[in-house]
Amino acid sequence: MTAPASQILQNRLVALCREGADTFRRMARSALVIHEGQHACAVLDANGRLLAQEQGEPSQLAAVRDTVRRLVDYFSFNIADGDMLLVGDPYFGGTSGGYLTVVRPVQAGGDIAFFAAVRFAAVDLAGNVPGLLQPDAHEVWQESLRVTPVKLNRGGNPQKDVLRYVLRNTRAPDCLRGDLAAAFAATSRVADKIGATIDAHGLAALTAAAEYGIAYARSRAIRSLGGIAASGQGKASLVEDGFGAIEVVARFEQEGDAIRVDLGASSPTHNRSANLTPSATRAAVVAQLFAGLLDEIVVNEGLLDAVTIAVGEDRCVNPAYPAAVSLGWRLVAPLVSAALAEATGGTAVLSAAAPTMVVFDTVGSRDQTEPVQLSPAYRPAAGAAGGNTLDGMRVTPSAEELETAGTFRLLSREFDDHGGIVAEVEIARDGLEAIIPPTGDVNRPVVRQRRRLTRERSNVLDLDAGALVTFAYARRDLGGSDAVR
Amino acid sequence: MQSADMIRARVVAGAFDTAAEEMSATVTRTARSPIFNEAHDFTTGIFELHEGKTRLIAQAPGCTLHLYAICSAVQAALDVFKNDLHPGDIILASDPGHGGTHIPDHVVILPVFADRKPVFFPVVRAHFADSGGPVAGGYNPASRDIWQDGVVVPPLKLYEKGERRGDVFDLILANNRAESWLKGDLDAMRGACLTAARGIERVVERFGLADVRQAIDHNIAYTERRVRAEIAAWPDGDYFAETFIDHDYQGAHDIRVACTARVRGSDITFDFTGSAPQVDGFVNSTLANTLSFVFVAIASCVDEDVPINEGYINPVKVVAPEGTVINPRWPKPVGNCTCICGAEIAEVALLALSQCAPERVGVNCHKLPLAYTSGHYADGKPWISLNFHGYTGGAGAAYGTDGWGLYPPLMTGVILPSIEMNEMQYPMRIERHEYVRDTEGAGLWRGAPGVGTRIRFLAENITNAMLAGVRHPTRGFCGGHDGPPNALALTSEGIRTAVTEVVYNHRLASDSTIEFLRGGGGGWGQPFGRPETSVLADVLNDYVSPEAAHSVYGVAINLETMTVDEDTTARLRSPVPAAAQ
Repeated sequence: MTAPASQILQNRLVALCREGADTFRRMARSALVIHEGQHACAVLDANGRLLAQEQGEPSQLAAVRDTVRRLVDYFSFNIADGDMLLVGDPYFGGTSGGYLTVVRPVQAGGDIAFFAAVRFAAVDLAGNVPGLLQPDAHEVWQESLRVTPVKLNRGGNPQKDVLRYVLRNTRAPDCLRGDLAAAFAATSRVADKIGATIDAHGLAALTAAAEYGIAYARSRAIRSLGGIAASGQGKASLVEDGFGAIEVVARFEQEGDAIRVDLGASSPTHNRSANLTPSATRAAVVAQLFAGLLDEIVVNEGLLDAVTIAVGEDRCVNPAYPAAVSLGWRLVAPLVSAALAEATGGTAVLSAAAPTMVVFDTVGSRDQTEPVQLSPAYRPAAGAAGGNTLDGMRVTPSAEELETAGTFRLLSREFDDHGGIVAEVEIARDGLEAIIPPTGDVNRPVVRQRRRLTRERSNVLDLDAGALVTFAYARRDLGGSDAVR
Repeated sequence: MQSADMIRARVVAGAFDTAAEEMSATVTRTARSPIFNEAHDFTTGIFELHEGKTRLIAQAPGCTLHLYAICSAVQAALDVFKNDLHPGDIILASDPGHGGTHIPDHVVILPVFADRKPVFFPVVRAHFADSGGPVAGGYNPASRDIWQDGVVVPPLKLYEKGERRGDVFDLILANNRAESWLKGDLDAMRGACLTAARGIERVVERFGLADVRQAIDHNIAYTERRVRAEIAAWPDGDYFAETFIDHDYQGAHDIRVACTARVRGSDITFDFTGSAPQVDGFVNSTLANTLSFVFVAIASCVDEDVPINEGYINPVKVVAPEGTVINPRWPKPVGNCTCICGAEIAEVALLALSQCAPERVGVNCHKLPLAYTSGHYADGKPWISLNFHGYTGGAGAAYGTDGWGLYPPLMTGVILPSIEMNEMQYPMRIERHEYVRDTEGAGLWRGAPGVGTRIRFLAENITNAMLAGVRHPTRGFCGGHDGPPNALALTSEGIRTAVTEVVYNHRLASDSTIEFLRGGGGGWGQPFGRPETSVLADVLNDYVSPEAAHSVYGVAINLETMTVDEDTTARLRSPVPAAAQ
């Protein structure tokens, strides 16, 4: 097979992933998918090796691969045509609770040849407070339902009791039902098209093309680091209110084609939820080292494994079970990025998390509630239009969109004197509560209202109609964070 | 009915009762969690599918508050799987919105086939050590919705046609902190059902299905006749009572539970119209729980030799308006309902019945100073202790008997775990567990004295503590005094924290203590009528102080001879103070 032919077939896989991601995004109901781009679509081989992937934002980079690889091991020889597998567990290749991966096997030549997978963030999957961010959690059970590998369809037969179990443990069952249906549709579409591609070109050609793509991505990834020093070390830390100190120590070594990042000297498992799972840690490392390549080459096994990562045991970059992890990407990933940037003499690509407020109907007041992750702008940078390209498919909501449901009014959104953005949102109705997850810097949203903001014995904010919330977004090219050092 | 039929009915009933009791013994002897094998916080029963509905045909003595709840849960589970049942299926469920009570109480159900149809269902209902969610142990005093109570388990099959569904099994285990216990407990529950299945199959084989069913009809009719006879002995009328829940742990206080008992011939309706609207905190009672505690109240008024089966329930109707604290709408939290407001539901039903059947009511006591503790063993595995000893004691009096003590709350039937076993299973030492003087509800028959307990923990832990029965302690009946309030205190690193209502996720250092005062039971009848010799015995046993004997019972004790001072007593008791009449 010629290189151009391999490239064409490799691009076919990429196109399938894009189509799957697009299909899913257009059908999904979760605001975290539609507005925040928290989804991915991937094609993997029978061993769970990633062949191509389209993701909405970088935290998803390694999770589909890590999840499916373990899924293959878990079900071993018990995967059949017509199965639809579901998994969403931080301790099973995932990143954080509430991120679900739907996987469909694709048969060829009488055996499983590929997997089509869609991963997405549900708006809620039980847990201590509505939504997926759980600042007070210290155990994984407090963050969400753990969805260990389970068959939603077995040989084409729906496992209704399993679906009922999952839907019974979300505050937004209709939304999740829609998202799962969208994921079914998207994976089925991708699977069908893989089948059509095999019919047209043959399994061997497609496999060879995938191998070619993996080798190419690996080669490009290694070459992209050619200009940097052979070794280096960096540190980054933050002290977040009530969270204690977190430090990431990164050692970088490069010898020939071997690139190694050692994060094992980072601080121990955090006693709250500021922990990165190994999959999320890999995503942060890959995003930092290969940010410039993410739009150029295929995200596949070659890119993900271009670097060997050591994370040690019982570290904030590889927490000891059952530690909570929901704030890992917001708090620890920027530290990984900053520490690696120092180690490699580069610039951190993951800035401190954007200020966000998670708003939801008063807990217990409705049989369904869809928490909204409110963040009306982005961290700007001098000379760059729009948000960080690494935010991927995240969409800055328009004023009209924010105001449609009658919950918010966007009063202002403008640049300040320092090139940052300040936005002010009014809470338009009663009956709402919120949490404000930490950002890792001083840019937390500020709420002003007449009534007391906190209630006795409550771990959430009690919002008043007319409350004003100010979001300040510092420039990311200035570090984006006062706390990340 | 001919005598041969009657005899066969009793033999069949005995066989089912035996099967249910074998289930109970199997769970006790094979379960891993101390909550099962030491505290016996479970119930076993056998159901029959009859004209599309399940009906209870046998139940082993167990945790009383599961009695009716088990019926609703089984019906809800079988509604889901009625067209999809196979020999060897095992169903697991705990869904407060569909026949459940609070989430920790799970049911395991096995269909037993006869004539190629699912006819019988041995069931185990048991309190799991953990049920996922925000706090270890399943009682989250900060809960404001069902998901803050824990992980809901709608009916699902753990086994299908005898084969374990590994992925579903692992899914259940993954959402439980006490995974290693749960594995064993689920096996024990399944094993108990399989044991019962063998017994059931033997009965059917011996008598044939038609005759077995006829026998079941007879047994249920017999129980119903006995219960109806009891109710018919009560004068027709409407009997109203009300009681109050102290608080909901979220700021609401004095939450009303109202009940009118309407007796009409041999039928009785408990109408809870007038009860408070549902509350934010986790004291709302699911309908199944409300029915269960009404059943507990009725059961305590009926002769104990009446077999427990569907016939018990037939004469009783409950009106529970939706959206109230005794029948909340989804997703209001219900995590504490088997303690609060279950206690108040039984109490108010008994208070209503005390007006028409005063000599039948009593033994009221369930308001608990609840504190549970979790930590990790040296190997990293979690432990969760419900600290059963702290809740022990305090049964109320009934007509003809003082409240008996040193059992856990009477309305559960949970067995007091052995202190030695507890100290082996948990890093704890139980330093004190004894009656406390002057903590009984006085009466012609007095409540059991309160019990003071001190537990010292040898390892760091997290404790949640929630107090009830303080603003509205356990009520007495027919002139008997109320029991005194409960009390709870935590001491860690020299700092003592008296719990006023709730302490949430409190970190206790090693060598910390929890002190419980479980208030005594309420009395029955006015205390000035209590025989002097009984009061003297109470003083000699140090249940009652001489001062209280004098002021509360009107009995003067000569402290030198430790005998009753007859003259002074006669003066004190004559005339009987109006307030004591």
